[in-house]
Amino acid sequence: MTDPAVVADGLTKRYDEKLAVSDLSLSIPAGDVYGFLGPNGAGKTTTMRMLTGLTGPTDGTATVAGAAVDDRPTLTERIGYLPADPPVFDELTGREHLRYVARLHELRPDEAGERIDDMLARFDLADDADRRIGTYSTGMQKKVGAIAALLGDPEVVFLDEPTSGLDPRAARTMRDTVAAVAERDVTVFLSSHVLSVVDELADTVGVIDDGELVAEGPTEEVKRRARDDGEADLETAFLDITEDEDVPDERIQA
Amino acid sequence: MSPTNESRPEPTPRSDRDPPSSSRRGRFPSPSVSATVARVELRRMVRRIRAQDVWMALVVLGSLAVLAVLPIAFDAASEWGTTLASGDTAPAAIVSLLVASGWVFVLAMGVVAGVGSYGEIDEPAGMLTVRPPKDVAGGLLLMNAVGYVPYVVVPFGVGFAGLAAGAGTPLPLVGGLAGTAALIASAMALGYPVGLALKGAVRRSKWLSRLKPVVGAVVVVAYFWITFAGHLPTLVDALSPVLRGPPLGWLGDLALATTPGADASPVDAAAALGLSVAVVPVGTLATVRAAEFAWFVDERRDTGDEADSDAETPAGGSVPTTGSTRLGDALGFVCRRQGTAGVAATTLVRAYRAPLQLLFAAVPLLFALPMVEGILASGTVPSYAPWFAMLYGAWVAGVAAPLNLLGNQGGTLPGLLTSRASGREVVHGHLLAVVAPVAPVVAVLSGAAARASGRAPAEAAGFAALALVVVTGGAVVAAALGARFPRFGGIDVTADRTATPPSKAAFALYSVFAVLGVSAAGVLTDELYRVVIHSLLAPRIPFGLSLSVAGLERVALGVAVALLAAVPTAYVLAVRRVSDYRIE
Repeated sequence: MTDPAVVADGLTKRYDEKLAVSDLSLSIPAGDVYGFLGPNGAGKTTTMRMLTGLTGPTDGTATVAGAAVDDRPTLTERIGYLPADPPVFDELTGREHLRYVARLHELRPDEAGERIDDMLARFDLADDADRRIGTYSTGMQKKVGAIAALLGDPEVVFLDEPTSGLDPRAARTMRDTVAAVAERDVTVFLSSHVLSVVDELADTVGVIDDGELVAEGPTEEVKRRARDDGEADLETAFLDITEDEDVPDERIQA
Repeated sequence: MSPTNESRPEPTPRSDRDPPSSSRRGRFPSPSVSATVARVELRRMVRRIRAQDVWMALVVLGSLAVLAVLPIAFDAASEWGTTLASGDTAPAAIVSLLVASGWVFVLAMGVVAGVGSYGEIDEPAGMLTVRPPKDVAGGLLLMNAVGYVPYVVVPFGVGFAGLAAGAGTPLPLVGGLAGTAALIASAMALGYPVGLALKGAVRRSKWLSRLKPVVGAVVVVAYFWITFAGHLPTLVDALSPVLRGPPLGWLGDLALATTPGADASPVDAAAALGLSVAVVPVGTLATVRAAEFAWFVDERRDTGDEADSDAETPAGGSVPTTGSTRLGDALGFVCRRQGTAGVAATTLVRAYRAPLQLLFAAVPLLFALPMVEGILASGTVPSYAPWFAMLYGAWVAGVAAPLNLLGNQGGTLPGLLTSRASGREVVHGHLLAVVAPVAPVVAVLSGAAARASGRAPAEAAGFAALALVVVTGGAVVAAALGARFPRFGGIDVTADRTATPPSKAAFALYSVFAVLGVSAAGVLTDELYRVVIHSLLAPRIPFGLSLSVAGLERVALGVAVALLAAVPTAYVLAVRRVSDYRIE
């Protein structure tokens, strides 16, 4: 059995008096798509920022692709991250931005060029690749951000709301891309409020509420947990799990 | 497998637990990656400046000012070169002092860059998950050093070219180039990490975060005070023991090492070179550490008491009504319509919480620094002070909000235009928001300045009353110009803050209006002002025409009547324009 791709042990983040993430423990097998759900302000983004090394945990430890989250030289070589607001530079064209990211990953220029062209075509951006990103729509910027996150061949990719702001066709392309990436044994940590996307792609689902992981398990199991009548539905499960502020103590274990 | 996967090249097989690539390891930034970061950051900076007319205008004006001085610098340096070649070493001390002053300038700019927006990563979530911070920090250090090359190399290059011309040999250029390179590299390598460390310290301290705007304002005012009030030579004199002594004095020896007759010490020149070579790696390492200190921090922001200032807390026993604020309620007492009170309250709250928007109104104050210094030094208030207060008050009242009343709304403009607030209420709200706080202050200042400058109490009261009229009338005209010439594009003021200045047309027209208005009022009401304006205008009247003082009064009366008539017209235009405005 291979080592888990993401391991978190007692991960905690506190901002002054506010507890953003509390004692979070995870173990995500390599190659899995992990759907990370939670209401607004539940601690999803803070968790992703800790796992990508952008924010230091107040307590606890975590490793991603075998790299401790404070070992940035190793971590940056093994992960890709698409935050909810895509980190792209308005002053560059789409192609310039992606070439820049490729250079930062020290990819060979010919390999990078081929990969960028392929991804631009897949995301229907080829015709706009030489326009400044500042003139792009939100969805187009998201596509550039997604390509940039995947460009370095990461072992683990973190996607925060990857389909928000995308039209249905682009959202479909994004879902196909995530599925294709996962089939290549890349671990995907997927946070989304679009539950149909998580339902379609995720092998395992974790639900965070008020900074605590309140449910975790295979997607089908989490859905069944919500209703006993056989009508499995992730939305109902999510609403049930996050309904009460007094978080249920009982966790669903895979 | 998804069909789309077939077009994706298979990844290079990689061991699960390969160590990181050599460029990511170690303490020093990767030179090639840092160079890439620096190159792209410079390209972004150039494109950003080119896309923003205000910054572009400042760059052009600054460049023109420098270009105008360069021939003078060349001539002076040429004379020094001739003097040095003749065996007189006196100019060497001046050149050394200039080189050391240049070092201090770059050091200060490095600190400012580190603590300011050039010490930030624009997209940290993108950059810091792709490369370790050392490479990004190295790139930003290099970018800032290269960014200052034109500011240093051009003047010093022209200076050493002048020395070479005067000495009759190109040799001074060799030492000059070495000295300039050592100056930029060592000063930036020391200044930039200090700035980053300061940024980290401020972010970690709630107290320092609270003080930051005040300290920033003091630094800016001090900078302009020194520059505009002519204190730069005094400052250089005060620093001269440090600038002339080692190790800064050694830079002069390096810069003059190849200049004939300069009598530069080869040992000191070598020491300057060696020290610079040693400082660069140390400063680079310090930059990496300071960058991590500044970038990876949970900011201790001063969240302020914004909510509390507007409403009682539930613990206080009074639960506020949503949408109700103390300010809005207070304005509601003086406004018949809620729309007017709402627009005024929102305009005031936005100005208080985002004072950068007022930056453009504050710029003319910098030019008042010499006047303020003159008052402090002599203890007397000049006779033009009340007029200046009135002109500046009218300027502030216009520029602060009405001069871009549509553009200032940003993304909320559709909401405002489709709200129940009429065009009249929107205009009234903006006028109330600026006239209520600005006009009384300007009236007091203008009256006090008039009294302090030796005018009678009745005359001072007249100034105060006139100030109320000028400020109010100016704000009305500004509203019309702002509605007619809105500007929606913002400009970057800091890395994460933008401000939307009024359009160039509105700015220019309003400036002309304010100057004409105050000048006409001055000519009509103030004997001294009338004489001054006449002495300025009379010799410059074209086509052989002449202008008597009485004629000037008649012209001023005509202008005053026209401008007074323009105020109600402007009001009608502003209301109509806002009422009928359509987003294109």
